[in-house]
Amino acid sequence: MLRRTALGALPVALVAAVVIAIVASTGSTATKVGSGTASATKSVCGLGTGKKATGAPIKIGGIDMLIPGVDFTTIGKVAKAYFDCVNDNGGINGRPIRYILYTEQLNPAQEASLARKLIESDKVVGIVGNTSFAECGTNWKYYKSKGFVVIGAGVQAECYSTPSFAEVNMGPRYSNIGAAQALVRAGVKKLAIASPDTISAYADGGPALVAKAAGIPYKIYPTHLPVTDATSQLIQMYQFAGEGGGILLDFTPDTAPAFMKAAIAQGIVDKVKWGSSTPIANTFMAAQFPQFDGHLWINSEFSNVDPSVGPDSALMFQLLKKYSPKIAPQAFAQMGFMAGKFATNALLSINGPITAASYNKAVKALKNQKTDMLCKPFYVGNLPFHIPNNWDITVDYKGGKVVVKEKCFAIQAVDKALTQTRAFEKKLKLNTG
Amino acid sequence: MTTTPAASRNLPAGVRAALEVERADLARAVVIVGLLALAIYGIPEFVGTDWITTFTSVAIYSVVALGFGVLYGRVGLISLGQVGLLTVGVWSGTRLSYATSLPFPVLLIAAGGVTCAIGVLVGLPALRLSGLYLALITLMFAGATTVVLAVIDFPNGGGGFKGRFATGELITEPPPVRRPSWAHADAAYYRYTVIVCALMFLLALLHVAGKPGRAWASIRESEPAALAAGVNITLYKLWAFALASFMTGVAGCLLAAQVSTPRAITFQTQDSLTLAATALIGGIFSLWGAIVAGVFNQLLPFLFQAQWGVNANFLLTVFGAGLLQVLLTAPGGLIDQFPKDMANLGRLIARKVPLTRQAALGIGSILALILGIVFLVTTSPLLGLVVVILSPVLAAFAQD
Amino acid sequence: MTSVLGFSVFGVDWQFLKPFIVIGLAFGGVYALSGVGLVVLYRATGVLNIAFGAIGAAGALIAYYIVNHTGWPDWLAYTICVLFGGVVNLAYGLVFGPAFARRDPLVKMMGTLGLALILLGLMAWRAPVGGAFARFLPLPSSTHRYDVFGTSVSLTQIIALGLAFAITAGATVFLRVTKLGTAMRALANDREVTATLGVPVRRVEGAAWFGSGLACGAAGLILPDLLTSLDYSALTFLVISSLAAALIGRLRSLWVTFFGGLAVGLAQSVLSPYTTVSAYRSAAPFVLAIIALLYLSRRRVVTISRTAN
Repeated sequence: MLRRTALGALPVALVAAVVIAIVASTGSTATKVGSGTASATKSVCGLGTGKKATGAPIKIGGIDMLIPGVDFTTIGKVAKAYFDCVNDNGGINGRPIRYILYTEQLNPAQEASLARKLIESDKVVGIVGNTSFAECGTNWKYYKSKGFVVIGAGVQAECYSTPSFAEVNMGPRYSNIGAAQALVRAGVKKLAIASPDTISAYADGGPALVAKAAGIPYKIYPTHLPVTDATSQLIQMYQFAGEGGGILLDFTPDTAPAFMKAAIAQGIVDKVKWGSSTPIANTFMAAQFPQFDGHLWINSEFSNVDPSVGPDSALMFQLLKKYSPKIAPQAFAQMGFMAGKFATNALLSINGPITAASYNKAVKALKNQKTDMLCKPFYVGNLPFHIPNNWDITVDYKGGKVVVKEKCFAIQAVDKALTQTRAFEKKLKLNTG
Repeated sequence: MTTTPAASRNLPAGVRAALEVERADLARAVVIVGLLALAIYGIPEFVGTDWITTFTSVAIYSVVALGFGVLYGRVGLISLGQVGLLTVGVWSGTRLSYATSLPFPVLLIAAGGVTCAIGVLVGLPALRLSGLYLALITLMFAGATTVVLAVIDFPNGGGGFKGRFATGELITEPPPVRRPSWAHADAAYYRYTVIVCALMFLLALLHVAGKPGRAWASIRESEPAALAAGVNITLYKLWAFALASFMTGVAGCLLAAQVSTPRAITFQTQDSLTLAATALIGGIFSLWGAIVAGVFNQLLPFLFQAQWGVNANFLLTVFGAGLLQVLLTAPGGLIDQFPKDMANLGRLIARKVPLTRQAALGIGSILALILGIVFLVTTSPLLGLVVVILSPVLAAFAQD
Repeated sequence: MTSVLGFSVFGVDWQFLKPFIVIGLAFGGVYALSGVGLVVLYRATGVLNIAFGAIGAAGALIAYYIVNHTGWPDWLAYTICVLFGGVVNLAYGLVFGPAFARRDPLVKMMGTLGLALILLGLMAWRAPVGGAFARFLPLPSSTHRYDVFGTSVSLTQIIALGLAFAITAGATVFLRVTKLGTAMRALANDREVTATLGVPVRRVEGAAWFGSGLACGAAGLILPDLLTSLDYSALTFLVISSLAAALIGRLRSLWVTFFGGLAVGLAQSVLSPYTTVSAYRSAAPFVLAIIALLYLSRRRVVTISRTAN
C-alpha cells in the first residue's frame, strides 16, 4: 500500500481534488450552513449572518497529538471547521477567526515549545481544541502564568485539576465513575476494572471509590499497551468478578476489541455485565460487536451522535459535510464542535478590543452554555480547576447502532474534586441557567 | 573536530608539529568558547521562548546522545537503552525534587548518581557481551524499564517510595518539579541547561583526552591486546558506563525540571531506538556529532510542526533513511562526512579530480537526503519521501 | 478460593491456573513464530531483522486495504500480504545485503532499524488512525474454536503454533538436507570462503531474504488476528519483545527458539493471577531475554560479539 499504491493514487487524488474544489466552490454559494436566527430549534454559527467576514483576523491556536497509531487532530480539525463556518457567517463582528493547529509527538519538550510558539510568537488570543496524552501536565503552569484557559478535550489528571483547562469532555476517570455507577445500579456484586497502566492510578481510582461506597469488592488490573495477552487478563477478571459481576474496560477502539473478542471466544459475554468509558460508544464499534447488544453499560460523556438529538447535533452534521467532509460524525467531532462553539461565544461576548486578556477573561466568564450535546450547560468560571462536564448518559449497542440506555444522571461525587465542583456550581449558578 | 586532542597528541613529534597542534587546539578552544557565549548570551536575545525551549531540549538530548557516543564511539560498547536510562534520571530527579529541598546542582548530581548506579548494573553484562548481544540486552533493559515505570508512574508530589498522592487526594495543581532558584524563567533555565550540558561535554572531553580515553581506545581496538598491555578492562568498561549513565541521569534531571510534570506515557521503548539512530546520524566519534544528534532529535520536529507545518511523523522515514545512509557511507556520521562530501563536490565541480561512480553516488546520496527533506517541506510528501528513500539506495550502490 | 484438588501453586489454585497455561501456550505461538522467523534469516545472512514487525505490519495494511476497499477476494489479499513481505525483504536484501555483507552483525541489525523507521514513517503517512476507529483484519480461522481444559482456543492460535512448528521443522530439514540450505549455512560461517568455493552468494542470500520475508508477511497476517486489532505501530515494535524467544535460542537453535517462544508466552500468562507481579507481567519477555543473555555469557572471559556458528 506504500510507495506503489501511493504513486497509483496520485492521479486519482489529483482528479478528486479538482472535483472537490469545483464542488466546494459551487457548493459554498448554493448551500448555506449555520446561517439564520438562532432559536430553540435552530443553531447557527456565530452571528449567522451568511456574510463572509473580511476584517483583520483573530488568531486562535491549538495543539493536538499525532503519533503513529493515534491521531487526535480530528478535534482541532472540527474546531477549525466550526470557525470556518463562523467566518462565513459574519465572523466575530466582521472579523474572521484564523485557527492555527500544531501537532505534537507525545514529547513534553515539544509540547512546551509549541505552547510558547502559539502564545508568544503567533500571538494567539486563545487556545482551543487541545487534546493529547500529556500536554495538560506539561503546559498547565505556563498557561496559568499567561492567564490562558484552554477549551479542549482532556485525558490525564492535570486537565481536571489545574486552572488552565476547561475540557468539554470529562476524561477517563469520571467516565469510568459513571460506568461503575451504572453497573452498581444494574446490581453487580463485584467489580473488575482495567485501564492502560500509564493512566491507571488516575482512571481506575474513580470507579474504585464508587465500588467502595457501594460496599462492593473490586480489583484493579493495570494493562500494558499494546495488549498482547488480553485473554489471560480477561479470564482473571472474570474469575474475580464471577457470574453476574461487572467488568469495566477503559480502552480505545484499538485495544478494547482484544478484550471483547476474547470475551466472545470464552463465551462469557452474557455471564457478566460490561461497563466501559466513552471511547467505544460509536457505531463503528457497535457494528463490529453485535454480540454485545444489550450487555453493555457504556458511559457516554456526550449525547448520541445523531442529528435528531437537537439543533447543535443537526448543525454539526451539516457543518462536517460542508467544511470537513473527510471526518465522519463521531464523539471526537462533538468535542471539536463544542470547543469551537464555546470559544466563539466567548469571542462574541467581548466588548472592546479582542486581546489575549479580554478573550481569556471572557472564557472565564462563560456560564450556562446550553448545548444538546451535553446533559448540563457548559461553563468555565474563575475556578481553581474545571470539571464542567459531570452529568452523563449510559448507552448500549443495538443492531449496529448506539442506543441510549439510561438518561442523564449525575456522576457520583466520590472524590473531593467533584464535591467541590458541585459546590462551586451551586454557589456561582454556573450551570443552572 | 574529527581528530580528538588525544589523537593529535599522539601525532608524530617534532617541535613545529607540536606547536601547530597547540595552536590548532587554542584556536578550537576560542571557537568553542565563542560559540558557547553566543549560545548563552546571544540566542535568548534574538529568538522567542518557543525556540529557547526547543534549544533547551536540543541541549539535553545532545547530552543523551553524547552518552551513547562515548560508549559506542570511544569504547565500542553499544547501548540501545539510553532513553531507558534517561527515564530513570527523570524519575529520580523528580522524586528527589519532591522529597528534598536540596539545591538544584545537588539534585542534578544525585539524579546522575542514581542513574549511574543503575547504568553500571546494566553495564555489568558488557564485561562479557559486546556488539549485537550487548545491543540487545540494553534494549531489553529499556523495554523492562518502560513496563516498570508505566506501572509505578512518575511522582506527583505525594509520599512513599513512589511519591504519589493517593487517587482523589490531589485535587488541584500538582506541584511542578523545581527549577534552580535563579533560573525559573525559560531563558534563564535555557542558560542554566546549556552551562550544565557544556560541563557534561567538558567532562566527556577530559575523559576522552585523558588516561581513560587511551584505555578505551585500546579496548575498542582489541580487547586481548588491551588485556595484554595491562589495561584494567573491567574497570574502564564500567567507568565508561558510569560516565555515560551519569551524564544521562543529569540530562534526565534537567528534562524533569524543564517539563515540570513528567509522566510515564511520554517515554516509550522505541525512543531508545530513535535516539540511537539520530546519534549515529550525527556522528559518534565526535563530540560535535552529539549536538547534531540533539538537533535531529528535537529541533527538526519543532521545525516540521511549528515552522513548516509538515507532519513530523515523516521524520521517522528521514531518520531511517539517514541511519542507513550513515551506516553505509559515513561511519563518522554527518558531522564527519558532510564536510568531506562537500569538499569532494567542490573538487568535482572544479574538475580537480575525475568523477568516479563511487564518488558520484556517495555525494548523490547525501544530497538526496538533504533534497528529500527540502522537498518534504516545500513540495510534496510523496516526492520528498521518494527522494529521501533514494538516499540510502544510492549509498548502497556506492559501496561496490 | 478453595482448592479442588487440594493443590495450589504459590497460593493460586491449580484449577485456576489451568486456563492460563492453555492461553499462554496459544499466545506463545506469537513469540515462537516471530522468533523462528528472526533466527532463520539471522542464520543465513547474519542479519537480525528488526524490521520484521514493520514489514509484516505494512503487508497487513495492504491486505486490510484490499479486503475493505476493493472487490478482490480475501484469499488474494492474504497472498499479497505474505508476498509483500517476501518482496520487500528481498528488495532490501538485494540492495543493502551486499553493502552490509562484511560488517559486524550489530551494524547489519541497525541497518534494518533504518528500514523499520522508513516503513513506520510511510505507514504513519498513508494510514493515520483517528478517533472512533480501529483496523481489524480477522482471518476466517478465528471463527473456528476449540475447547481445551475449559478454555476456548481459536484455530488461528493453533495455526500460529503450528506454523511456527512447521517453519522450525521445515527450516531445520531445509538447512540440513538441501543444497541451497547447505550453502546458506556455509554463508553464515564464512562469506568469503563460501564465495571462493563457487557458491552463488547473491542468489543464496536472495533466497534467504525472500524466504524469511514470507515469514514476516505470514506473521503480519496472523498477528493482527491474534492481537485483535491491526495497530501498525504496536506491531512494528512488538518485535522487541519477540526478540526474547530468538535470544533464548541464542540466535542459533531453531528448536530452542520455538520452545523459548512458548516459555515467554507461558510466563507472561501464568503471572497474571499473581497479584503482586501481575501488573509487571509485560516485562516477562525482557526479563527472560536478559536472563538468557546473561546465561549465554556466563563463561566468557573476553567479550564475544558474534556467535561462532
